[in-house]
Amino acid sequence: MATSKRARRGQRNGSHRSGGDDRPDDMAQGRAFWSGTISFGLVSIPVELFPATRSSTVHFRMLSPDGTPVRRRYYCPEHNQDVEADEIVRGYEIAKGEYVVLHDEELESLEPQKSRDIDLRLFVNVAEIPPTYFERAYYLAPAGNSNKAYRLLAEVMQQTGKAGIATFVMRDKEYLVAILAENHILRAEALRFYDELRTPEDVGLPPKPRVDRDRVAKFERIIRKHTADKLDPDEMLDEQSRRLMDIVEQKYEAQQDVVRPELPEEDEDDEPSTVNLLEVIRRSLQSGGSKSGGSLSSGRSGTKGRTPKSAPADKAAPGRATTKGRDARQGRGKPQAEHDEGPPGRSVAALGSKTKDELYERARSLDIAGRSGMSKDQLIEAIRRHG
Amino acid sequence: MGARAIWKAELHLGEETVPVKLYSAAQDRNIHFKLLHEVDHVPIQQRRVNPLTDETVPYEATRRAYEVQRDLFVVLDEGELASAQPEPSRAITVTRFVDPSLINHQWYERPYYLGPDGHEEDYFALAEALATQGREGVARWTMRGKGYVGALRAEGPYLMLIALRSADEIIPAAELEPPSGRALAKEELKLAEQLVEALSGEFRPEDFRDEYRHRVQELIEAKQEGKSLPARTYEPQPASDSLSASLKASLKKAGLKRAG
Repeated sequence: MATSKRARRGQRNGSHRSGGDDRPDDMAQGRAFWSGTISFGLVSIPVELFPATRSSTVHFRMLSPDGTPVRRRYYCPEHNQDVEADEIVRGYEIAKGEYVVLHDEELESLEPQKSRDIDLRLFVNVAEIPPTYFERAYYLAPAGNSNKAYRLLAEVMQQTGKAGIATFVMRDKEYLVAILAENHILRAEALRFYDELRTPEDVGLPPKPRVDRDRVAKFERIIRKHTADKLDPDEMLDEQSRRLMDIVEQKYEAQQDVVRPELPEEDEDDEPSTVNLLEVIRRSLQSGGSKSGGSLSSGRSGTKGRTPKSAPADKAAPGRATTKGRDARQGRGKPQAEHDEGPPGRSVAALGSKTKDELYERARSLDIAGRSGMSKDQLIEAIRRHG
Repeated sequence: MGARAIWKAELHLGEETVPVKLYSAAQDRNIHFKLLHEVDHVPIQQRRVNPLTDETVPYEATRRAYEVQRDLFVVLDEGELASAQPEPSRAITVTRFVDPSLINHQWYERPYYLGPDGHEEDYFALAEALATQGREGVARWTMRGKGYVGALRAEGPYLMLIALRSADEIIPAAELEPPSGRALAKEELKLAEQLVEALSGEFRPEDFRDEYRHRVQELIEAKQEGKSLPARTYEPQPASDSLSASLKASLKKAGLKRAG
């Protein structure tokens, strides 16, 4: 349900799940990454995690009548005033208007100590996992010096058709994953938990009646008649997004309704610029293990710079996140510096180049209150103030 | 019990139609919080503002725009947005049947049960036929103003429809290049394979519990009763140096576990 994700993002109205609120979108936009360690017996394989999906295809921004992108502010109706993120706590509603208040530190204390460990203790045949369990995929790239161990695990997963099963906590949410290999690349398929799926009995489907053999044969004939040996690629496309992008492209070509709003100075907005996720993952797969280059944070910091207006590829495909040349450029010249944890409270510019994930970790280590509700800007601001 | 159907539809397969009801097969177990103002515990609202003027922008006054380059937008009006919407329809049209292996795991997004809506025999006959033929149908439909592609499959005696991500949303493994390096040592490969073998078992999803979610639930209950939760302990894990030594040690351990 791709569009609903967007809708939810737009309407985050105080009530959100225990997971870091806009986390899935962050990931899907290639803005943040997570790193951890796969344990395979006593072998440890440090990895970086990247979304394998680009989330929904067309994302519209909301503009004010004068063309300025709208921002969201937290607002207390009782005090009739805006509220900063560090003045917000999370409440679980136990009765109408009655809440149990949970602080971030309390929630974090519930996380397993080794929350960055993906411990593979069970291997199953991939074919045995029912398709209903699959929720979202993430690519894994080798990190640290894990290139060899990574390739070894990938090779064995692929040859045996197995997947390693594990659970781990990634910022406020536990994930059940099946780690499998395709094209010698490890992928973590996030699975639903058992109690997140309904049974036919839960739904109340009726018991199967006696069915005529002739009736089954009728459908078998239809199936055979319409069987194909491959998918139709065109059929698998999101037509609605295509049509919208066509309109956008036409209008852009004609320079019709194109606006470049004036933005406030410090408007480091939290919305995604186009990040070429494919390129980011490619670089990461190639550079992993050598401790340099190609992390998502460098890709992101690149996008913070203005896109060259004259790039011809941009014209051909505005924003479809596929302009290779552009994105390849972005990553270069911005090597790994972001990975080094410098002293807190350095310049805002340095903080701005960090991913939200990194900023969150920093905020956490500084014990900044209200951090889980903060946008990237707010995290930067809070860390700066702290320093 | 029983769940409420979220949509009534008609399966179209060639010249046959089968009326069905659609039910969500996934259920949200996440713990939902409200954001509260810390000083008075009043639920926080959000307002949309124009950052230049700090004025609230009512929803009706907002415009939709696509960011073609950073800070450069193309504005679309209501008519243009509506023109891209698919025509409403009750049809779930099956366009082809394929071998299930053609549908990559990465594509699966959200499962639905289909239940019969009258004509029960056709419904169950279709499910049986899909099972005997070992096929899945590729289906297209429009629900609540959005077009979907899905896989129609038999789940026991029932029909299931799994919404698939569109091709543009997927980064296929084939478009990536795997990490490269010197050829892997045969011995290590063999050891790793043996270890996987030793740790192999059945997929029993009921064995895995969302521990974190349960602990959050426990914390809420404890706080409600004015108690606190006991702290948990931490077990450090040794890092591995030599790949084959680690594999051998792991194998030994796995073997012991199995024997014990």
